[in-house]
Amino acid sequence: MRFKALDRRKLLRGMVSGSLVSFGLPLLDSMMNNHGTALANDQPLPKRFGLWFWGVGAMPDYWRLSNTGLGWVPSDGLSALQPVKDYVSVISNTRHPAVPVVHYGGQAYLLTGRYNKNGSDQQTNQYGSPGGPSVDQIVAKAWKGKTPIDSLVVGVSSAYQGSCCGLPPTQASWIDNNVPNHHEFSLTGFYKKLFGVASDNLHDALQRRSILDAVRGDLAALQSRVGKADKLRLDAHAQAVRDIEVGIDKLASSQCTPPPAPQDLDILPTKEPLSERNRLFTDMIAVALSCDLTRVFTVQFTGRENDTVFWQVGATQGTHTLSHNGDRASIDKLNQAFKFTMGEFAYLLEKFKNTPDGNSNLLASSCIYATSCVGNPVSHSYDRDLLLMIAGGAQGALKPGIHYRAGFEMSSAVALTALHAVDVKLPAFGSDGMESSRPIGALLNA
Amino acid sequence: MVCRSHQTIIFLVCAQLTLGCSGLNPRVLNKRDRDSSSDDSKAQSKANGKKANPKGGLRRLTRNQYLNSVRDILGDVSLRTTLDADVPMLFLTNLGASTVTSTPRGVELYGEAARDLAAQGFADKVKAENFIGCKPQQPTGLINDCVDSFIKRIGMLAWRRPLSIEELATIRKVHLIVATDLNDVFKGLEAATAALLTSPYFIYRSEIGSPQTDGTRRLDAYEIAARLSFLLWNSTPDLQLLEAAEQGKLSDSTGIQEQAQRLLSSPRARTALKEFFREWLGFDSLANLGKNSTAYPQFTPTLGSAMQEEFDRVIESLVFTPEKDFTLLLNLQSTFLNAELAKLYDLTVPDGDPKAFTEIELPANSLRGSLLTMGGFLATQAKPDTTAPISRGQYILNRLLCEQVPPPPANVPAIPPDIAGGAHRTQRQRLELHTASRGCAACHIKMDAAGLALEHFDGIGAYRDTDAGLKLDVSGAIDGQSFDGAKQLSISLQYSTRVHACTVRHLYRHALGALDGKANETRIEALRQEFTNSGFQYQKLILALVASESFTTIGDLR
Repeated sequence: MRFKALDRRKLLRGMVSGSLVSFGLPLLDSMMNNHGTALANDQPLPKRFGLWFWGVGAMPDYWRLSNTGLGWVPSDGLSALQPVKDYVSVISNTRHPAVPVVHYGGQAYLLTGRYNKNGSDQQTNQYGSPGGPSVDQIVAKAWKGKTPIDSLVVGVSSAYQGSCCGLPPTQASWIDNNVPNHHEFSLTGFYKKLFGVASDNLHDALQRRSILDAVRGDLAALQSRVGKADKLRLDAHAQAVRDIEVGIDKLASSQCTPPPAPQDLDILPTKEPLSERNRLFTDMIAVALSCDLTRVFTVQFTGRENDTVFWQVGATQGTHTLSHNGDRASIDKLNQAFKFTMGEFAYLLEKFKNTPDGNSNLLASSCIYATSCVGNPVSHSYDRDLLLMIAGGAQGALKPGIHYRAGFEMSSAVALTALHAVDVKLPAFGSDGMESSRPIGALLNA
Repeated sequence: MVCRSHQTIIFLVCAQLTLGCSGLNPRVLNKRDRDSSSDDSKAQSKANGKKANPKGGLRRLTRNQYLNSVRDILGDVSLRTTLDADVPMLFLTNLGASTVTSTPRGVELYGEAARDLAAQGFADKVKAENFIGCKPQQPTGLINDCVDSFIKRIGMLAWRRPLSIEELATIRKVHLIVATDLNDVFKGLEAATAALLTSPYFIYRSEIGSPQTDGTRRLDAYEIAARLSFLLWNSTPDLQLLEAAEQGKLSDSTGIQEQAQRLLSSPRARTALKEFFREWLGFDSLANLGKNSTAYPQFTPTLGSAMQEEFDRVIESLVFTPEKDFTLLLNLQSTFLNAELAKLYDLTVPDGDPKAFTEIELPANSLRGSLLTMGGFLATQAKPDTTAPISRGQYILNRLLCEQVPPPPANVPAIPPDIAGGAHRTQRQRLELHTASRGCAACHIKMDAAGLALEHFDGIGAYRDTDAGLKLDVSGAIDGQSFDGAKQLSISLQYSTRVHACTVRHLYRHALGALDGKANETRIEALRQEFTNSGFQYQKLILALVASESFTTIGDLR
């Protein structure tokens, strides 16, 4: 299978012109049937799945929408989504069983549907953590092997990443209970992962392979000597080594044209280049999805309980600190930070919208689940005032552009809806009183 | 159970909590633990056998261990790749390392890091020749003595043991393929080095041992060497330690203690142990602490760093001053301050560089002089804008008494804020709700009492006489020991055998990468006795631990 190159400049021109320009069939054209509506072998066009996460929620008064149904009118908080709002459904007023500790429980519930009350730190804290794989990894597992890379996971703001002070790890993406996923914070590392192998020369490839051969033997020998739990750990390690080998072959044979290589940007904690980093990551993700290097991605724009300083809007304190300040001036800064955040989400949506895919665009092919860890930042509410969004068309599976005000549904119904839209039809999402077994019909085409 | 008649919601809710808080011998209640002590009499009968020993298996190198190790192996290299995050368990990354699972990207990055590090090691031909230690002959394909001796030496350092003949052959093969392909012996050796560092034998420390007749497994000499070196240097063993292993010098406790003493006398031990104490006592994130600038305008990142420095220096002096009593951590006669931190404490430092740290004798009537009055503890165990007595109390229970507090149940309503009907309330008044219910009280009576004793210290550790004009009551009792304020609480903890045992437990978990359960109690108790008999010298505790059977023998494989 051969892919054509994505011409980045053409795409940029397309964006500048403000409307979607048809570039002809890009990338996947050799794989398409004559109408661009399916693959040449009559397999349906691939859907893509994304998780877009930001920390510390949003003031409900600032984003609340005045009308429901199709054609929602953006509030100030969501105004950045105006150009793509027909692709975005907003789900408000979902219920959420009370979990004891705000950020942790909320994130665990919204992203994984499972709350491990003992936490990854096993009995030491009262915080709990995600109790299973997050939505992105559920899809990555279901689609495993379809593309060279199972999923891409990036972190934009590096303020307060990882675990701290005995708190559970803050990652948005989780592979399983107790296994927080690796989030890529390095632009150059990410670029190398996506496009490095293809530029390997024969010598590099030979070296890689001979090392992996040696490692595979070591893993097998070690596995025969260890106990049950360690064997499982080594199984995961060995599986990853096999995936790398398979991935290398597939990556090497792809002809995806890389975007210009980024430089790593200086990251001063109080002056993070959030927008620049987000856009460089997003551009690379769009190319990777477009070339079918992967079909699943995660952007953790800011981390759970992050103290990212949005200096771009004049903030001098991190958002978590601002939320605890709770005074008017701090709330104003929080609101501006949220508006800024939505601007960065909108960048991704617009980028996707302007990236051709088949006879449509990448946004129309995608289903992107976007949410945070709490509702109201000041009260740290985790069981109400939650903002959830599903963006994209999922190849016609989604009815986008709706504001759905939930009557009785729990938040887990939203994740379940997103999963169903990309044909990962779990019977239910969540557990322990948090499960939903019915996707939201109003958001799906029958 | 406690719950019978008063079935109010809060009562029922809190009744679930009693489990972890009421026992006389509170322990970690997790599955592995229950497995090893499901039945008292059974556990007792096996106490001297297999189960008295900690479980063993693989421990993944922590990020720091990885970095320290590659520097010891390759010299001055820098890690330009982000590795998988450590996942701490019971506060300790070294304990979490026994169960952490590598992510797919993490595994990929181990490969990337290894190739990059090896390339750095060989970047300079002249330096590389030094590093190799002999002149490998070109042309390249041949395995010659120089190549072989290099692979053996680096392999030994990286895998912390000699390579078997088969393993040696595998690494030679990597060398041969690449050296032949590129017609460059250095490139071959670089690839061989990368292969050694990508191997699970480097990434995971093996503590597997071999079976003995009584069902236990004895660690081999190299595994013991690695245990020692990661405990005391947080890095791979040096050649001297590996030679000691090879020569059978680690087969008895005297030999092990000799090596331990050698490692302890190096400055590297100070860095390694400091890192452990930071994790155990929660001083690892002070530079990033966020505080409400309206409530605490004087809190700055430099103040946070100063708090960390105070702790580091106190710990270093307690552990590395000969014959020092470690329990003085709770009853300090002096501490280490710079000008900014001294100001917070209402103390003065001698004129001079305001950033410099000086050891300051504390006056007899000083309000400071304990871990529990250190800014670093008081500020981290607090909210951004106020104190957090529950967190402080929970810290004391968890980290000093090793008492596990179960998480609160899901449907407990939040405690109302400190303004009720327009009138300010003290934290004690707010928290009275907890003790009004017998169920909640099971855990909270201790947690709240300990935390409220520290209410004279605000959310960044500054002293206050009153809380918003209200008089403070800092009296309380835990387990029948009553106290009035931070000083008395600290001293009662200083003399508590449970605190001494908890000190032992944390070292045990950190060193052995295993949880202590009921079956290990005799061992913990014996170590506590030795610690006490030594006058609480921390280095003596380390030496007692490394000489104990628990250090060289494991029970089951994980």
